[in-house]
Amino acid sequence: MKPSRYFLSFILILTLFLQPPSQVFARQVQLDVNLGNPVVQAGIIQKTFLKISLKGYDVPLNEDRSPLNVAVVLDKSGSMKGEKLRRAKEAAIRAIEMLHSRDIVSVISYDSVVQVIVPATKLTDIYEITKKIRRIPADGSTALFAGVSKGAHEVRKFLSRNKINRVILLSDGQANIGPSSPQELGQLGSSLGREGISVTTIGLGLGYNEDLMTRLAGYSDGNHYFAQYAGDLEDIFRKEFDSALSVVAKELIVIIHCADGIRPLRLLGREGEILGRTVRVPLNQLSGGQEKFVILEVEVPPGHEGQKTNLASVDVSYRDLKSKREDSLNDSVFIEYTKSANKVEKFKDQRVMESAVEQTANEMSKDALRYMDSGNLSKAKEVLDESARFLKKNAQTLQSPALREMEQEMRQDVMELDDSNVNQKRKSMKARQFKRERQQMY
Amino acid sequence: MKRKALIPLIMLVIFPILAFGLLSWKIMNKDRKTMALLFHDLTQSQLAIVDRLIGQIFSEKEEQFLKSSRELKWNPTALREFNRKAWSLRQVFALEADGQRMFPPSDAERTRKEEAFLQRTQAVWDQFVSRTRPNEETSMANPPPEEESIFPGTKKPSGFMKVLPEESRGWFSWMSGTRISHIFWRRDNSGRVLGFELDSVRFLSDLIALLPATDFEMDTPENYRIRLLDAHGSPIYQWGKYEMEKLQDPLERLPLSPPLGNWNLEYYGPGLKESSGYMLIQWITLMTMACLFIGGLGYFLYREQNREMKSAEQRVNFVNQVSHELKTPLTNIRLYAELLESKLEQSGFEEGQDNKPRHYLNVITSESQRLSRLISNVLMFSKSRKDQLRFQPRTDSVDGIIFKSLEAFKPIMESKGVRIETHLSAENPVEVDPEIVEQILNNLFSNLEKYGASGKLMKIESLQNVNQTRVRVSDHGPGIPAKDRQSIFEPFYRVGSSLNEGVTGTGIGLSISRQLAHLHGGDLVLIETEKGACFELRLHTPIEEKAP
Repeated sequence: MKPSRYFLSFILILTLFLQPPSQVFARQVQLDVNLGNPVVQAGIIQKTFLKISLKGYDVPLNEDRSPLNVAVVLDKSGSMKGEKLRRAKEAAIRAIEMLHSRDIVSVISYDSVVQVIVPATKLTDIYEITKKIRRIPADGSTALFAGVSKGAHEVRKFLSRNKINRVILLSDGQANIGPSSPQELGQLGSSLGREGISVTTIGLGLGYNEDLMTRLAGYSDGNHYFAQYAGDLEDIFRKEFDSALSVVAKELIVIIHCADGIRPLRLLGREGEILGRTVRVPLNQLSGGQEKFVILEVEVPPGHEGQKTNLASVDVSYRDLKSKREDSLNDSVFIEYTKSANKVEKFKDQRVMESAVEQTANEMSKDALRYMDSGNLSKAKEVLDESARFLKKNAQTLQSPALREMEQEMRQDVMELDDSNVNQKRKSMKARQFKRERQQMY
Repeated sequence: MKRKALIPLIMLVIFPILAFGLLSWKIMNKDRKTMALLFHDLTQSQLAIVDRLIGQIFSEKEEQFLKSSRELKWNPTALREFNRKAWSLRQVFALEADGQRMFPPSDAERTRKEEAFLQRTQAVWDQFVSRTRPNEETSMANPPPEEESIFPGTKKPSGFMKVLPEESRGWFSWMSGTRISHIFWRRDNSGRVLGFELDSVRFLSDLIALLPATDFEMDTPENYRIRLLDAHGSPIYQWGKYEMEKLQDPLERLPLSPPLGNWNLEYYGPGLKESSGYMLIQWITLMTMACLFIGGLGYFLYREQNREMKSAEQRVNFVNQVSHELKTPLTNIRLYAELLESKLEQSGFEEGQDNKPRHYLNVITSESQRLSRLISNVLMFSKSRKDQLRFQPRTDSVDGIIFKSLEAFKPIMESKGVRIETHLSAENPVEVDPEIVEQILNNLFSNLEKYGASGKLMKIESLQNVNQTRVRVSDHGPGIPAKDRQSIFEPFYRVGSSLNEGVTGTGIGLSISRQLAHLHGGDLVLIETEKGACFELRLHTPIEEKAP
């Protein structure tokens, strides 16, 4: 008896020592705080961009991932009849087949009424679930709000901070029963986001309301996809599940404390709270390998040659899904004044500028969208063209292929946009804007 | 005859059907009314459950806010932090005891969200503040302007508003844009007020989450749709399998309890309309079945009776045919029998001599007479059937006719030991059809011989009035049972008892006799006597005076 007990303790100690250095605790979300112009001209008031970038750590494929708690909400209204619904169902089934038995799935369908096809359940009997999905018939009108509400309700049954809680909404139409304005759906998204549920929206075809869908996704920090054809759905569902499965951090809160004299002007792309010199931006989740960033435009007071002061300190808090703990990061950024224009140019941060240009161009694209909405296509083209030129100029100076690509996109938009395809263009532009704004993975 | 049997038969069929139909209809109708009442109660209670559920959400929120209001620290930072996390809230705010707004702050930086809150509540802010003041709470001195909503929370203190001596709380509702907004507020005992503005969209979402989804798969008998309509009458949410028409009216409606007083729940369904049609179908089916059954039974009875009649008639028809054929040979037989009789007398057969040939002859005569009677009955009957009976009066004495008929029966009566007693007083010549009278008497005598011979007496009486002659024929036999007395005059009716055992007949004698009597302006009736049977023949016999 005795020897065996010693032996056991020995083994125990041995295993403790022999364990490979655990990366679980070492791994952290990577925080980078940079200024577009870390060195600025002395003596004048000027603006610059502050970029706070967060990057999720990569997770090996074989590692245990956090369980998914997902509600798939399918529009089965009359317009989905035929190929659309069939493809949507198949895509959802393919995606669900990627999950394993610890994940929680619910399936909701809606037309004028809402049906809970599969109540939130652990994925133990995938066959039963796929059978039920395949049986969904199409008809009726579109109670989108109720569908999302029921989907969120199913997710809520297993809501956990250690899970990835998500509603995936697929719709090809306008909401027409219950609250149906983009503003109201945005309000719902914001509330669900604060609760810890993000809503991903997939717009199918050319009949859906992209404002409503992007707002709902945006305010809850979910993803948004535009699937012009039903055939795209399988790919989109797979991507969405991939991104959901690789989430490493949740409830990220970025707080930027600007130093005395520094004035935060605006956030590019993202929603946040600006209160005096404090800026607060919540991000719902971050996937492994994904980079999300916050760009804040700030006003810098005049300084004198050689002066180097603290511009801002950044606190980030988040919940690590791997360690299931709260974690926090902080960093600060300094600004230096100089009289030399060369030095300003030399220290210019290419990547921050690239992001800032991207977001600015994105804002311009949004302006173009507003002109399109008012029916002024030529003005919209003008703005898009302007944005393309802006991109071209910056792509050259910053030597950025990403900006060049975006420029090409804009040029294509200018070329293609005409009365016949406003709807389709609007949807694809909206989806692209959304992705850029939020650094959506796919 | 046929018609007579048919009418009761039809009655027999129609009355039960009518009665059954009426009764079942009444019961079904009553059932329907009860059902309608039950249905109303049921749907109303179903809607009331939903209403209570919605009320419950409000009280849950209230509980939640009350709890928060007790725990919250009284400073902007804490309130702001709370606001960020409370996902069912749009904005939290705080008033000092003097009514001044502490949060969102008036003298410090505000977030965009807070600015938006101040903007959308600007119009109702003063009203709200005065509502929360301790002394002005109950006074409605300044009613709100029309475009603003009323405040059900403070008006109706049913569960939503409780006035405590120090503490106070309530709901404040107003229209912000197109949606109704609700603020729950609580004043603590120091007079400070915390307000929670409900996120109206999120509230709807929570409401929908709690209300039932629609289950098409389950095979429940309920077929309805319930809709929740907001103050504008536009549907917020609906559930239930029933697919409603575009402009269908709801079967039931229930306004929600405050603070959602101008919201409605509507119940749609096929209701009882369809089921009343269903009831009619059910009733018709039932009635058809009843008709078929009773009608079938009636038809069966009718056919049974008809068949009996037909077979009897066929018998008569056959006899009728045969009778026609028999008539000529029979006349010949009688003729030659009479010739033979006179020949016998001529050839000097004496009394006391060998009497046998005479006896044989008598038998031949009487039997042929009997046969001719039968034949004439049959022929008479078929004539009556074809309305070919004729009344052919002559001047004659009724007594004479009686004697003549009696003559033919004497031998057989004697042989059966029946004593013939006559009291005749109708010798006057009157207008009479001797053939008819003879036929009737023959039938009566023949019946007496057949059925009443055991009484050993045949009594014949005749009486004559001014225009009427009555002839009674009675016996002391077994008589006729009471139950048969009406029926004996029916054709083919034969008293089914020991009475006629071993006696054959066609069953038309009395029937044809009565018909003949009617033809003669009189009747043939059965008179009640103490013993035996007594038939009375009444004849219309005007006294022969004018006749030539």
